[in-house]
Amino acid sequence: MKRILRLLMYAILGAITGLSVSAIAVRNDGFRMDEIYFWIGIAALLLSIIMIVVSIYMYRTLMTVSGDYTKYMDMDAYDIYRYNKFNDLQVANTFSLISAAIAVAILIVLETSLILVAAAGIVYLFTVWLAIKSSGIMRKLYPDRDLPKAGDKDYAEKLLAASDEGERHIILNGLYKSYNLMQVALFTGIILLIFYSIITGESQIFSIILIGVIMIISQLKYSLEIREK
Amino acid sequence: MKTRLRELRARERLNQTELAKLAKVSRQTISLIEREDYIPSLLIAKRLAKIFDEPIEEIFIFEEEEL
Repeated sequence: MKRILRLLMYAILGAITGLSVSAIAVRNDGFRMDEIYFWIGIAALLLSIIMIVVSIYMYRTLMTVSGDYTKYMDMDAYDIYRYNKFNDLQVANTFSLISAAIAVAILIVLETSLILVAAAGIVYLFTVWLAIKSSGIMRKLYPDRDLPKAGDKDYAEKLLAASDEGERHIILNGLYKSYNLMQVALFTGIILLIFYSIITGESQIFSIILIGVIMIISQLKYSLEIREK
Repeated sequence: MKTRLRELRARERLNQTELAKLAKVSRQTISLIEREDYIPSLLIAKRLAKIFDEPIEEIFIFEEEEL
């Protein structure tokens, strides 16, 4: 019941946001949407490049400290430091990867110059390489633990198996909260897409169906996983 | 549930990482238990009891209504 109420609340919030965005879009119909999207693509590409630089800096700092942490802090502080910094690195990598993917998508769809598309493509490939390289750092940070190699096909299962009960408790809490947030965010996204379609006349029906199917598949997968055998 | 883990760890002059190694768990698990955010399994409780040479009920103290 609480979940339904929360979903309804987010739906109303989404509707208000959608209406506000639409109202602005109507008043600014002098703007060409393609031009706005182009600059969003360029901004995403720049953001990706900035996040790549941030990631490399974080990666190098983490490797320097882990080389001889005793120079900087005690054992407990180091364990907290490497754990949090590795998490920060993952966040930076995700930002750069998703931003680059958005940039590539926009620049291809808008049929901009080949050089721009190629540049975005190279940035995207670099972010993929960086994400794989960063995952591999975990084995260097925790040399005494039997952690899976980056790129292992059963990476998630092996990582979970290598975690102890306290770590699994933290992972479960984090995943459950992010799962709920994702459901609400996707639902809000559907509402925004409905308003966007109505106001701009650009049909987003495919995206709405796709998001709906993803939400159903995700719920089905969860229900199948927790079903009593 | 209340725990005396932090107090006992200080008594033995162990940091969280050292205690985690002795108990064969991660430092995060020790931290969670100390913050009373997590009730450990019987196996870990038993290991901790052995390390501190104390009965489990002297390390983890439950309220009557919890039992």
